[in-house]
Amino acid sequence: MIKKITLIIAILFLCLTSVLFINATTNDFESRTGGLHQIKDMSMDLNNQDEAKIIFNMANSPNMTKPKVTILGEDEPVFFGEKKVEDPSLGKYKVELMFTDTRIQKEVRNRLGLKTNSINTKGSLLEGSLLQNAPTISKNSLLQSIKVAYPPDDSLMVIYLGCKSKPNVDLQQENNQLIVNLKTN
Amino acid sequence: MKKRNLMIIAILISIITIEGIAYASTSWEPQPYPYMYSRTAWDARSADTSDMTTRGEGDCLIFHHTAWNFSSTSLSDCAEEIRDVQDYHMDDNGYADIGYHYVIDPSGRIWRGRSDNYEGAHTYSNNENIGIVVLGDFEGYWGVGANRLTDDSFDAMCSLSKWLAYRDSLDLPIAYNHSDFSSTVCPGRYMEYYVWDDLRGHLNTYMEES
Repeated sequence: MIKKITLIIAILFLCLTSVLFINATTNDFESRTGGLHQIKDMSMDLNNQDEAKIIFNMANSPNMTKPKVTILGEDEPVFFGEKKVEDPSLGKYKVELMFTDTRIQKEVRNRLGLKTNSINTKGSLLEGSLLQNAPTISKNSLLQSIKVAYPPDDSLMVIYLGCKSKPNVDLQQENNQLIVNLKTN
Repeated sequence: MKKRNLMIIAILISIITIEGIAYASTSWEPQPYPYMYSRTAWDARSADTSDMTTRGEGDCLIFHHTAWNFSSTSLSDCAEEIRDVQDYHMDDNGYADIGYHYVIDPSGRIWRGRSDNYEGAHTYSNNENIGIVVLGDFEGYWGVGANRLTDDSFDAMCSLSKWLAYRDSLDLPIAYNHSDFSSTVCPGRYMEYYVWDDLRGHLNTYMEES
C-alpha cells in the first residue's frame, strides 16, 4: 500500500515538474512571432577600442544551432527584401549572421526595423534608443552599424554587423545567450 | 550491311530522344481544377511587382507551415489569418507580397497567394518552385501545443498537387517539405510525414500518364 502511494506521488511529482519545465521554457515565447527560437533582447559591450561584444538574449535556445557567419567586403551585396543589394551605409566590412528558425521578438524587431541602424562613437545609436542598455560612453571604433534582413525563405533571418575594419568573429553560447565577439583583425 | 547498321543506329537515337523528351516532361492525365479563393476573398494588399522576379520552370511543389498556431475553420478567420501572414511578410520581412503561391486552411479551402507567374519567397535558392503553406503550427514546442493536419487540409493538398502536377507536367516525386532543402524544422513534425508518405504515396498511385 505504502509502495503504491509512493509511486503515485512520484508520478505526480514528475508530471508537475514536466509541466513547470515546459511552462518555464515557453512563457517568454511570443507565439505570433513564430520560429523555433526567438531573440528577446540584445545588448552591447563597446568599451574597448578594437573589440565589440553583442549579446543576444534568447527564448527557447537550448538546442539552437549557431548562426552561420560570413564576412562580406565593401562591394558584396546584402539581403534587402527579396533581393540582394549593395549597402555602403553598413560599413566597409559586414559580418553576416544567418539564423535558421530564429525570429526577433516584436519590441526589438520594431526598434531595429529593416533600416541600417548606425552606432555612433559614444556607443548609442544615432536614431533613437535602439538598445535598452546602450552605454553612453564608448571608445569603440570597430562596430559601426546593425541591420536585420530576411532572405526570401520563411526560416531564415540575417543580422548584419557593419565594421570599420575586417573583424575576427567568435560566437559563444551560454545558457540563454548568444554572444558575438568582434575583434579587429 | 552498312545501310542496315546506320538504320539501326538512327532508330536507336530516335528512341532515346523520344524517351528523353518523355522523361524530361511528364504528360499526366487531365486533373480537375480545384476551387480556389481569390486574393480578393482575403482582402489582399497589392503586390509590389516591380520588386518581383518572373518565375522560371520549377520542378516540384514545396510545402510549408505558417508556424502560427491556428485551427479555426471559419471563412473570415482564415481570410484574416492569411492577411496577417501577408502583413508579416511585407511589413516585417520586407517582401513584395505574401511569400507563398497557395494557402490551405484547416477546412481544406485553397486560397491563391502570390501569383505563380512570379518567384516565391519561401525557400531560398528554390523559389522558382511553387510554395504551398498550410495554416497552423505543426511543430510546437517539442511537439507540445502543435496543431494536427486535418483530413480536409490533406485532401486539399492532394487535389492541388495533382492539378499543379498536370498543369506544369511535373515529374514524380512532386511533393517536398521545406526541410528537404534546408536545415529548418518547417513544416513541422506533424505535417512532414504526411508530405513524405501519404501525399507522395497518393500521387504515385493516382497520377496516370496520358
